[in-house]
Amino acid sequence: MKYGFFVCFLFCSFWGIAQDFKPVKDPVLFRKQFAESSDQIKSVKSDFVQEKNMSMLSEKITSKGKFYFKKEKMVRLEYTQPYNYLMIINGDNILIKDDKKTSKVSASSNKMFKQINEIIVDCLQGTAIGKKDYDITPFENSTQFMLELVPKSKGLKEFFKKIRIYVDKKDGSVSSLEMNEVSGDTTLMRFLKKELNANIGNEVFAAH
Amino acid sequence: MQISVMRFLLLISVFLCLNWSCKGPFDGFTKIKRDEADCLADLKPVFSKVLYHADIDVIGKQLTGLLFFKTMPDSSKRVVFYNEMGLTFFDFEWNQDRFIVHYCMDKLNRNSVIKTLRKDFELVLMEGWGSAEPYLYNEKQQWIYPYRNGKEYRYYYADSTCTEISRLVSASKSKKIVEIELEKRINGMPAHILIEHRAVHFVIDLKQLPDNKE
Repeated sequence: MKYGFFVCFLFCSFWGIAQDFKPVKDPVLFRKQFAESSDQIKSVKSDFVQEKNMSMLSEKITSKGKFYFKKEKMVRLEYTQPYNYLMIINGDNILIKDDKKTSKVSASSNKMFKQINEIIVDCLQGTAIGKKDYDITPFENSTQFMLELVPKSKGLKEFFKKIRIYVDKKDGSVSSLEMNEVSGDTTLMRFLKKELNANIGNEVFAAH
Repeated sequence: MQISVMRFLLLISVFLCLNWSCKGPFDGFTKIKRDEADCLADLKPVFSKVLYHADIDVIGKQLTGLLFFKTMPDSSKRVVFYNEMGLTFFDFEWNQDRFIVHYCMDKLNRNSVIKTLRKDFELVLMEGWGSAEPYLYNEKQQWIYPYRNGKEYRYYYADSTCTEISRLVSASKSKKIVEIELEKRINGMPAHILIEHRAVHFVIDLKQLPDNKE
C-alpha cells in the first residue's frame, strides 16, 4: 500500500516536472522582454502540423502544411495534407483558396473575421500580450514561455475557452499554439523547421 | 350565361389544381409490387470512420471545412463538422432512435438549420427510415425504393443488382425537397456526396479524403 502511494506520488511528481510551467516571477519585466524579443523577429518560415483532437470521439485528425509570417500582419497558411487549402492574411484582406474556388474577404467589413484574423496574427507575431481582448497569464519553464489567453469579447468567447501560445526562450519564436474550444475539442498547431528572419517576398502574401 | 362561364372556369381551375397537387414526383415511372424482404437494408453504410472535405453553399454564402463520420463502440453514429483550422461548427449523434446535438456553434444553432442538416445526414446514413411502401418504381436500369415517415417520403435509387445506391431523394407527396447524388463507396461510405436542396439554394458537396494515418 505504501509502495503504491509512493509510485503514484513519483508518477504525479514526474508529470508535474514534465509540465513544469510556473507563473513568471516578474510579469512586468516579462512583458517588456517579451515585446523586445518579438520585435526582433521580422519573418518566420516553417512547416506546421495541426492536430484536431475530438475528445468525445477519442479521435485525432492531423493536417500538415507550410507557414509563412512577415511583419506587419502578413500570414500565409498553406495546408497540403490531407487537403489543399490556402489562407492568406495581408493586413485587413483575407484570401481563402481551396480546390474549387477562391474567396476574398475584407476583415474590416466583417467583425467576426476581423476578430479571428487578429487572434491569429497576434498569436503568431507575439503581440497578443499587449491586447485588451484577453486576460493573459504568462508562465514559464526552463525552455519555454507559455501565454495563456482567456478571451474577453463575446464573439471570441463563443468559440474559445482558452488559447495557449508556447514560445521558445532561445529565439522568442512561437513553437506551438493550442486552442481550447467551447465545444470541448482542442486544436494544437506545431511549427517545425523554423527559419527566422529569412527573406520572404511580398508576393507570397498576395491576397488580391 | 356569364355566371355559368365563371362557374365553368372555376371548376376547371379546381380540377387543374387538384390534378397538379395529386401528381407525384415519380408519376410515369413503372410501379411494381414490392417483396416483403428487399435488399436495401444490406446497403446501409457500414464504416468505422471517414473524413470528407466539405464545401457548403447556402444562398450564395460559402462555408468550407471537414466533415467527420464515425461509428462509435456502442454503434451510435457521430458527425462532426469543423473548419480547416480546427474550429468545430457542430457535433451530432444518432443513437438508435435518438438524435443528440452535442455541440452547435451559436450562429448555426437554429431549429430550422439543425433539422435540415439532421435530415440530410439521416438520408446519407440511412437512419430513420420510416416504413417501406408496398411498391417499387423502375426507371431505366434503376430500382427506386420508397419509404414513408409521416408526410415525408424517401426514395433510394439502387442499381439493378442492388449493390450500390446512387441517389437519394427526400420528397413531399408532390415534389422533391432534397436530392443526393452518391459515388461508389470507399471505406464503407460514398467517395463523393452531393446534397442539393430544391426549395432554396443550399448545396453540400462532400469529397472523401484519404485515410488519416500518422
